Amino acid sequence: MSAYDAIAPLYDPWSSSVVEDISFYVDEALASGGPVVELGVGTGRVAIPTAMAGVDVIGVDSSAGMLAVCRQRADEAGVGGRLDLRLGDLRTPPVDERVQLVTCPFRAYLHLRNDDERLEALSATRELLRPGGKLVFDVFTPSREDIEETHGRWIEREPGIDERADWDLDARTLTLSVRGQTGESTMTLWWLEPARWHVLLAEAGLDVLACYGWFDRRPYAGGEDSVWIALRK
Amino acid sequence: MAEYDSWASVYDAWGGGMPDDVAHYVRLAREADGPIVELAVGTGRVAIPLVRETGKPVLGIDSSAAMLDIARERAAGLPLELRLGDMRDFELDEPAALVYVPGRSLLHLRGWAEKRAVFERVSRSLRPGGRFAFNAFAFSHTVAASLDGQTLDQNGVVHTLHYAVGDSRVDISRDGAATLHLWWATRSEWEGLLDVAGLGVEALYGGFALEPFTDESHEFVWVARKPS
Repeated sequence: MSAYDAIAPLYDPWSSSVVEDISFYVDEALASGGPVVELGVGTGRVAIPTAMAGVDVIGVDSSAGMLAVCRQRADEAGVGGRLDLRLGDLRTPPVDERVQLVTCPFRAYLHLRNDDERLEALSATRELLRPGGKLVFDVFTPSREDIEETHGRWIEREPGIDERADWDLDARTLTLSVRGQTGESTMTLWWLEPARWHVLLAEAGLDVLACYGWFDRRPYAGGEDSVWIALRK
Repeated sequence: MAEYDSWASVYDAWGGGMPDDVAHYVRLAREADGPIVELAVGTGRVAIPLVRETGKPVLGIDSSAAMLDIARERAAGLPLELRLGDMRDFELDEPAALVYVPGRSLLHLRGWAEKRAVFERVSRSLRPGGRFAFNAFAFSHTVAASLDGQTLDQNGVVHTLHYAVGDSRVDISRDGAATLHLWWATRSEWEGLLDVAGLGVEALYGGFALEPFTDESHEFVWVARKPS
C-alpha cells in the first residue's frame, strides 16, 4: 500500500500548477529516440505528454491507485498503447528492457530514505541503461528561507486542496500532507545536498553530464531545485 | 589556451587515452592543508572527481571559455570555482597549499621563457611548504617516429600528429578545429625550471603507479615543494 493510493484521484488537481518540467522531459525523451523508462510515473503527468509526442514509455510506480488513474488518462488521451505501466519499486524496477533513457521526474528519488536505498536505486537504474544511456531526474534541496516560508501551515495549494509542509532540518525530511474532498495523505521526502548527489551518482557508476538549476537548463548556482543528467559509461 | 574552444565538444572522448592520473592528484589534494588550484582545468576531467572525492574546494583556471562551460554544467553543486584566465598571468587571493597541472597541459607553454614565467608565478602563489605537481610526457624518438604524420582515430576523434623536433614541438590537428601545439621538455629542463623558481624536487615518478622514473619511462610525474 502506497501513501499515493489514498490521493490518486486528488493528485492531478493537486499538482496541476507543476508544468515547467514536462517539456523538458519530453525533449529528453524525443532526443533519446525512446523507449523511455519513467520511474515514479504516477498518474502520467509527464508520461502522457511524452507518449503523445510519439515516444513509448515503460512507467513504474509503487502505487496501484496512481497507475489506475494513469491508465485511464492515457486511454482518454488515445495513447494507452504507448504506455506500459508496471507496479514496482524504484529500487527493484520490474524492467528487463535496456534503454537509452531513464527518467525520474518530480523528485521521486526523495522517497528514498538513506544512502543505502539511494545507491540501490541508482545502481538498479544504471542497470536499465545501455552504455551511453542517460538518467535524467530532478530533486530539491530547501534553503532556510524556503522552509520558513511554508513550515507547519496549511496552505490552499489549488482550489479545495490544502497542503502542509513540515520540515525537519536535522533529519533533512519534508513531511508533506495533502487533503481534499476525495482523500488525504501524508508522505515523507528525504532531501540532500547536490554535492552528495554527485558522490552517490559516481558511486553508482554514473557520470554527471549536467546539473541544472531549472528546466530551462541554466547551470545550478545554489537554490532549491536541481535537475540532473547522468551518463552510463 | 583559447584554441581549445574548438576542441571542447570532443575533448573528453578524445582524452580517454590520458594516463590514469586522477587518483594521484586526489591523494595530493587530500594531503593539502589549504587552498587548492588546478591550472588548465578544462572540462573538469580531474577537478570534478577530485572535489567530489575529497570534498575540498578547488579553484580551476582555464583560458578556454568553451571548456569551462562544460565543466560548469557538470560541476554545478560542487565546491569547484571556475575562472577564465591564462596560467601565464593568474593571481590568487590567498597562497595555495597545492597547485597542480594534470594532463600534460604545461606543454602548451612555448619554450623556456613561457614555462619559466609560469613556474615563477606558481612559486609566488604557493604558501611556504606548498606543493606544485604536474605531469608531462617524456619525448621518445621511437614513439615520435611511429606517430609522425599519422592520422589517428581515438574514440571517434580523428586527429593528425606532426613532429617538429628542432622546435621540440608536436602539432595536433583536426578538421574544423584550431591546431594544438605541445612543446616537450627534457628532465634537465624541468629540473632547471623548478630550480630557478625556487622549488625543491620532492619526487619524480615515471608514471601514476608512482614507479621510479627510469630510462624506460614515458611520463614525468613531478611533485615539487616550496621551502617552508
